[in-house]
Amino acid sequence: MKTLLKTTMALVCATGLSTAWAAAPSHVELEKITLDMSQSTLQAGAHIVTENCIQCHSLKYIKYRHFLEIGFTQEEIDEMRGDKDMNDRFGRVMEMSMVKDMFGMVPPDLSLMTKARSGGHNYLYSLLIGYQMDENGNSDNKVFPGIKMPDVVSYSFASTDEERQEIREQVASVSSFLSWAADPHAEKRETIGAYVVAYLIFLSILYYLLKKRIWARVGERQAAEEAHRKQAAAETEAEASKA
Amino acid sequence: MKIVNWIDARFPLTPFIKHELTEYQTPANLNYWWNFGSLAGFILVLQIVTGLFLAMHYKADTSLAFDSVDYIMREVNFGWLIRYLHSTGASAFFVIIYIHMLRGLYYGSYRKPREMLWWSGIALLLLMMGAAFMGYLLPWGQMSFWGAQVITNLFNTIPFIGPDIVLLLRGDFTVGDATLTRFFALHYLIPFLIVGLVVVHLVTLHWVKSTNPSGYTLQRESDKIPFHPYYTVKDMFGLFVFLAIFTAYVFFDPEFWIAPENYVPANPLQTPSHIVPEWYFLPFYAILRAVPHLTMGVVAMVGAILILAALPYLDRSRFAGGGVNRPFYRLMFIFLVLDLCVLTWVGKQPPEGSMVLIGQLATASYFLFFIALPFVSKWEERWLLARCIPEPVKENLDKPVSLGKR
Repeated sequence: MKTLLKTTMALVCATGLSTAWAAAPSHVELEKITLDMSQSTLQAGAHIVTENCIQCHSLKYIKYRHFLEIGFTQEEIDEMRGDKDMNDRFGRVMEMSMVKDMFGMVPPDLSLMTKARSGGHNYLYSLLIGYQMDENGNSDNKVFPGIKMPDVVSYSFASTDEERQEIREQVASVSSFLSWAADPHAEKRETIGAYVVAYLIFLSILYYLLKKRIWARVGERQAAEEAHRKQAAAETEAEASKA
Repeated sequence: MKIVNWIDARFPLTPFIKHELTEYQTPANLNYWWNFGSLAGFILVLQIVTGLFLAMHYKADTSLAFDSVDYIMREVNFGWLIRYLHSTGASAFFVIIYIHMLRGLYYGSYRKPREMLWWSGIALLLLMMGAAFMGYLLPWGQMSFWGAQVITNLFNTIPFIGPDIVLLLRGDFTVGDATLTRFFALHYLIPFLIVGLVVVHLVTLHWVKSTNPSGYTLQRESDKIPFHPYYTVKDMFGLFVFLAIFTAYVFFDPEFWIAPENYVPANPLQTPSHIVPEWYFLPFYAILRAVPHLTMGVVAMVGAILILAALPYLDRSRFAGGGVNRPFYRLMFIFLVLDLCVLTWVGKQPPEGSMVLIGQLATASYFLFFIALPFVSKWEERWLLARCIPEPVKENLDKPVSLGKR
């Protein structure tokens, strides 16, 4: 039991280490943020994404109907969707050929973006604010050098700290929204998970106690057999000495 | 009771339960490493049940597969749970099986008279690997596609019939729709083959009985206990501890076991910068890449698994059991476990620079274990005989670990 515990601990530590190592495969240190998953932030992010990013990127697994889940009212969604159906998906606004002509490739779909890149939302956040301007006025991205996407959030153009801070907040809300889009059941999953894990730990304890109780008989039987054997040995010895 | 009597007149229900559970004799000193067999059985059932529900919504079509997995995750009631249980379950299955096998290795469970038990286990591992490999294609992500492309390509190295086998596996000249549909069909079939072989595995176990950690046959009558209730309750305890850890991953970090690249739909025109298999294939992948010649690499990779089957004959010691009473065997075992960790790590890295050399050394070390075992086990036997050894060990020389009279 002890060795098993030790090994389990070692394994848990090892997985912990490997996560830390797997999370940052790109050579640039990613900025770590804690996501704010409140409905107001998600809605702010939704506005930014559906009013800007959607020009070039699709968000094909998200339907208007899904916006009810992050607290938009039916009226707000009706206003957003115009004559589109509640079950319509967010496709890119521009023609595919046009985008392709502009950037040389079709910009990737955003619905699974925070899952599809190692580093997840931290990668997305760091990428969006990763633009830098060189002396010649060309901007490039330190997280993804040679990226085709221009500095859409104008981070490299910002001149004051307040401006940068404001952009960071917007980008953070975009990260929150796209994290929700990639994994809409995350909150529910974790809520249920807490109960499930707690219940299983409780049940493990009960089973441990039950196991101990049932196994006590084995110890008793073994002790009885030992005692019996000792007694028999003593008797034969006594008989032998008598003879 | 009336019903049971009615059944018993027609089917040996009560005798079966008696023979396999309530009167099935097991050693009393099995430690917690012996829990992993029943855990593997549980996870097999979990994979089949979750797989069944996934198959109800999954579409085996290259234009729909990726979307259908996403549909399961978003729109199907608790689809995310079913899918995460299945994807995490695959990894958990390998964790459990690898521990189960290492336990067998450490305690010498593969030794006479348990060769058939060990071999059926190796066959189960091969089936499991096949199921895992084919299942990984189904989400039709980038890693799915390119992993399948790389692995099916390996069959090209088989002389004469290689290209035909590749064609047969893929159903096409490249991994495509025909590959996806046949992998889906086979992925659904293999688990049932596994169930069948598990029955064989268990029948073999119940015939030769469990070995035990002491390394020799138990003498006292009270050292033998019926499987039920002792091991049923112990297995249940182990199961819930496992489930607590397992569900913690499922609910809080399910993506830990899934490569991010696989959330990008398969694109035959764009090779990912770094193709890596799932973690459970990494040691074998490292062995494959360590050999400079591809055909020989494939031979080494397949040989790395098949050589396990020779273990009962490679271990020539007259001392029963494994690492408990045999210090050098124990050292070799630790060496092998560390070597497997190194191989796993190397398999994950791009094959550049010092990684190549480390991979080759680790591969050589892996095979060295099996090459050295016949000599070390014999030498160790003499070494032990020349020294004072405990009486029970001496008494048990040449006697395989058993449960006494059958």
